Amino acid sequence: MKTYEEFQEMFDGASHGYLIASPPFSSDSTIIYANPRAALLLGFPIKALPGQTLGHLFPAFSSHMGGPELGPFCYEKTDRILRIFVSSFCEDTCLIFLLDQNEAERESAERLFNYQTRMGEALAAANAASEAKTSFLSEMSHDIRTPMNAIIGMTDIALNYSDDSARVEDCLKKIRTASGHLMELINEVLDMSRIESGRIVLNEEHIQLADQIHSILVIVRPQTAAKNQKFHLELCGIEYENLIGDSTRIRQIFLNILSNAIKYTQEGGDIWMNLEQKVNGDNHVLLTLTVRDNGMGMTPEFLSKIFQPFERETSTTISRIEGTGLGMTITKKLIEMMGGTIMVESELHKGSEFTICLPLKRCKEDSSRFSSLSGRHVLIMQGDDNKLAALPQLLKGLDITFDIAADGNQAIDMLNDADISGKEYFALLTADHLADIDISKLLPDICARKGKNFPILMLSENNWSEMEYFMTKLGVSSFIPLPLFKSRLAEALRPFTREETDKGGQEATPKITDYSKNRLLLVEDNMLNLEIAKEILSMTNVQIDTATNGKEAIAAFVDHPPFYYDLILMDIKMPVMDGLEATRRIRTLSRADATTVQIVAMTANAFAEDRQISIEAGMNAHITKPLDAAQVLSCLDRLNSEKSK
Amino acid sequence: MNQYETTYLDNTAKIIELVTVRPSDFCDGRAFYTGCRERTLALRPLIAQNMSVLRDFLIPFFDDILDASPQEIADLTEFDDALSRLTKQADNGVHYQINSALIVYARQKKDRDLLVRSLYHGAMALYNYSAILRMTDPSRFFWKMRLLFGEAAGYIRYYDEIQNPETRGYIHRSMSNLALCYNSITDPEQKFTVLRRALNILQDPVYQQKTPSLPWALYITKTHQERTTLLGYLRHENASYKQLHEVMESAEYVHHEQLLTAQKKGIPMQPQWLYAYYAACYHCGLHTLSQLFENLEDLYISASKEDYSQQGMYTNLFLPALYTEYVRKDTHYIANKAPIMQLIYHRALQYVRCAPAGTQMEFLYQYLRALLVNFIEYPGGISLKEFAHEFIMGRHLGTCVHSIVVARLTVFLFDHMVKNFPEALLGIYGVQTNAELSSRKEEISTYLYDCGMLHDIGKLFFLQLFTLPNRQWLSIEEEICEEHAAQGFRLLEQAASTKSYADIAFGHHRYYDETGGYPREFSREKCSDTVALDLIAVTDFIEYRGNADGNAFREANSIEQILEKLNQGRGTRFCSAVVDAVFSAKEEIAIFLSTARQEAYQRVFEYSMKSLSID
Repeated sequence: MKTYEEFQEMFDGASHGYLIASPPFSSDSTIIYANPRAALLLGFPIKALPGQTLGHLFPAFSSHMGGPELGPFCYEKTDRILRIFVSSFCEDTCLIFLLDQNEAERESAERLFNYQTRMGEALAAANAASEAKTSFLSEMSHDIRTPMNAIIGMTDIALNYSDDSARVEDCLKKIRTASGHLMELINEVLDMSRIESGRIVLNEEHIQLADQIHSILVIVRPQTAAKNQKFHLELCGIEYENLIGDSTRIRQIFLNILSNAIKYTQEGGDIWMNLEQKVNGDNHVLLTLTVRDNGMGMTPEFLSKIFQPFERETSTTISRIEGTGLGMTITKKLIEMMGGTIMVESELHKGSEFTICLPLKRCKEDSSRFSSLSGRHVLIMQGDDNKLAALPQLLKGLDITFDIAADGNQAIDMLNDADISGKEYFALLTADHLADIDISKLLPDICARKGKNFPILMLSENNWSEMEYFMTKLGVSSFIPLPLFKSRLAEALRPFTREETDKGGQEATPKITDYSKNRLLLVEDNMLNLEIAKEILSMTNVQIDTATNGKEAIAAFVDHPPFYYDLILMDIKMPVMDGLEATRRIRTLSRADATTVQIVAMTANAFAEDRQISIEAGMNAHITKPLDAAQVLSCLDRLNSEKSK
Repeated sequence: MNQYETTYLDNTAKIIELVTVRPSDFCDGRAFYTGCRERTLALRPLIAQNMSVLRDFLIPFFDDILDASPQEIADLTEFDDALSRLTKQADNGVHYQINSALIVYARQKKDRDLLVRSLYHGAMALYNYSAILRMTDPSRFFWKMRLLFGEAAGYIRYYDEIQNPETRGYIHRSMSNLALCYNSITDPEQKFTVLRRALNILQDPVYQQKTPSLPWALYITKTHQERTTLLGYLRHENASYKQLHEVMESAEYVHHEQLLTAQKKGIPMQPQWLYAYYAACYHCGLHTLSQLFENLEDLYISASKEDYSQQGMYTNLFLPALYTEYVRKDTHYIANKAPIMQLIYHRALQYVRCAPAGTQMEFLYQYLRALLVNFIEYPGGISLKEFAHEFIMGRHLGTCVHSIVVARLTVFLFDHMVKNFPEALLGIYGVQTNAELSSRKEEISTYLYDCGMLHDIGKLFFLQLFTLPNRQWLSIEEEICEEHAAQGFRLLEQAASTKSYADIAFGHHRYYDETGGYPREFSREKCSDTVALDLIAVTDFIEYRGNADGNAFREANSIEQILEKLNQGRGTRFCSAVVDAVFSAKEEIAIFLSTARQEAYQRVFEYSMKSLSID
């Protein structure tokens, strides 16, 4: 699609005259644009032509009998014999081609036609782009205004009912929802802008695939549940779970594809997600995500432009507020930046299938971590839904042997057989639902019989925090989320081995680190954020000084002896002097700790380029707002650990 | 024992005395009614006191069982034994509760002997519940029984550490009784495996030498006897050679042991083991089906019609049930064996009606139910409907009186509605117009009477729950009794003469709008006659609530209270049109109810006095 800038460039350099006028082609058509050649042919300065009517410019129009052509006639102002043609390519705009009769005779008719055709196409494309952008801006302004209205309205209500805590809470929840939506919109627009300007930088960081997938499913599953859709998930050949890539962007890609599938699939429909891994050379894997649905599908027309910006599938059943039309473009661009591919197949009213292939680097894996599990024997109690189908293979990979009970009754038989024959199970791995027995009745009995030290691990795709209290009461010792990853399985089982239990005895006491000797300078201009940060950190006993801008921060640093501060938490955007400048200046001070004091940036966003800028300014690390005590303490831990070395 | 435990036992003993009421103990129907009413009134304070013992002492004690002293635990164990002896384990619910509490205590205190014993008794209590559900869904408790028996059996690992021979005995019994937790038809392989393992250990001389005081021969015989129950599986003709061999081996073993005992004591062999032997011979190919029939007929004919011992009941009622199951296999046999079946059914009715006081009713009911379940209708023979009527009239007074009143009240209400609300009856018995309703009124009245008589027939499969009214039901018992609707359906559905009443039995406790009640599986959409069902649902409720003389657990509701409750359930639990009809005839219904139960007692009395002729 051509932009107006491209269009102008093309027309400005054209060797023939062109006018663009309002339709229909008549004496009342008003000129909107004229290229330099047209201005020359007509003897006007280029800026004087827009606004004039064709009738005023060409008196010969008085005898025009209709049709796409006028002339040849003598144009008195420049004393040229002119012919004018109107292109039929644009319905909304008249593209008028001006020809000097003498030149026309020199050029072949075919060449003129081709030229005209090309120009017409360019104009049509530019118009379409303009329309899409205009429509997008119009929709965006609506999209932004809608949540903003909700935020403002709800804030007013909350202020008016400040004594009614239930009402205020309700308003705050709605504000949070609207804010989230607004943030999503803004992020997409910003992403698009960054991609278009080539400013986006991909991170190379450690990705734990299990965490990555579970964090996605935490979002996706409630959405499918809300629409009563069946979500089928399958993992194939996930051998390497530690990878290198930009986890935020990969998550964004996966979520975009999945949320589209959910959005465009009817209530009660099916969504299949398949994640497959294949070794790709010595150090790489190829991760393939396939998302298939039996939803509304797409027309071939829409399918052909699905990755173009500002395009949204129109449907009476889909709310117009549900997307910016940028998601798929961003997704494709990000995938391409990662060296991957995206393919889509779709049939209207039958569904769509997206396949994404991403080449990712592997991290080194420490296989000895789980050696204590080798040779153990466990009992698997399957549910009625085959969700533990991957378990045997993963157990084999950990050198753990197993018996499989198809249901609760068979599990009891196996426990009986084991007891009578003197065989011991190391643990019970159970589904959260059985085909034959109410698990809430069976588990307490097994727990009572085998004793509290017998590990019962529940594998479930449900949210553990929602079932933890209940299941723990039933005797469940630990939880393994589905889909199942080898690392999660091993990490869940390992604490119950004798070796780990022995270690656990020593580690049972929580590790208490004394931060009271650490001094921290907190630089933040927003007083509310400052209070929140102080509140969060107060429980750690760390000593905190504060400054409200970069200049104050430098003063505080200079006013104290070298090595007084262990850590400076520096906001980036501040009045008087921003954090980046303050850091640069601190690093150039002539004192012993100027280059060694830890300066950690605090910003609301986590874009890679922001990190890059802060590191270039001399900062050591970067943490995101809102401030999390664990992040700060982790910085201090690292610092204290380095000091002790 | 504690005072409250003694009180509970004493009250239960008195209740056992009181519940044994028979029409023949009275001079006429009126005296019979008065006697039953007085009995109910006498039961109420005893039940109330027992409930107080449970609520105020025993259940709180279970809750704090871990704080119990060794003496209190010894008292509890003694109470459990005494209660089981007194009630012949009819108070299964308390027995189970006691042993569940003892399991918790024994685990915590690491008292291995008490634990193994309590696990065994807890599992046996569940087995007793399963036995009640034998004809419906006995597997409901199997998983829990497996856990308990399995845990007890698992202590065989610590055999040498366990010094108490009684505990060792419980381990062996648990190992054998694990077989009770498997259905012969659906889980035969597992049952075979468990029995094989149990027999291997029981026959192992090492164990016998370690505990010579245990009754090894009895254990082995009982385990073989249990293996012969797999004949049920063999009847389905899916057995492997190995399985056939094992069943035959057990049947031979039991037959041989029984023969020796019979010869030694000079008594006839027990019929159940003779049957097992004959059946095994047939299934293993040694005898033909004709030979089996011949053997069973000889066994049946040789039994006394007046023998009300367990063996006598087996031969007179259960053996015919097994016999008819073989006859069912082929329509050719049904025609051939018609005279024998006629004899069987008539003799069974006479036998049941003439059962003297002191009969072990649990066996009588159990065997009679088996006969009902395997009932075969044949041209010219007694129909299941007739047999079922006799069954209801002849047994369980409460269900019988209730059914008679419901049947009559339904007909009464129907008459009232024909006159005043005929439109609301359209659809009943397939009737489509008012004219048809009028012309077929008598026919429909008879049909509705039978609906009322048969709607609770499923309850007769759970009579163990009614035989000892020494306390309120536990929820587990309530749930078991709710099965009566589905069981009634299954029984009535099997024969042409009763099929049209099956849906009434199935759905009479399900709410009109299907938002409550039971069973959930019932669907009005599939019901053959929802109009009749709606009538029975209302009349059943009125009769149950207004029962002033037969319910020892609570006072009856007045007619005003019943109407209020009906009104509350209008359109949800009950059909509004039927409720409206009841309201419009409330005075007449009140008058009807004031005499209906007494008249029902009169009919039961007359019935029991009437002798049945045998062809």
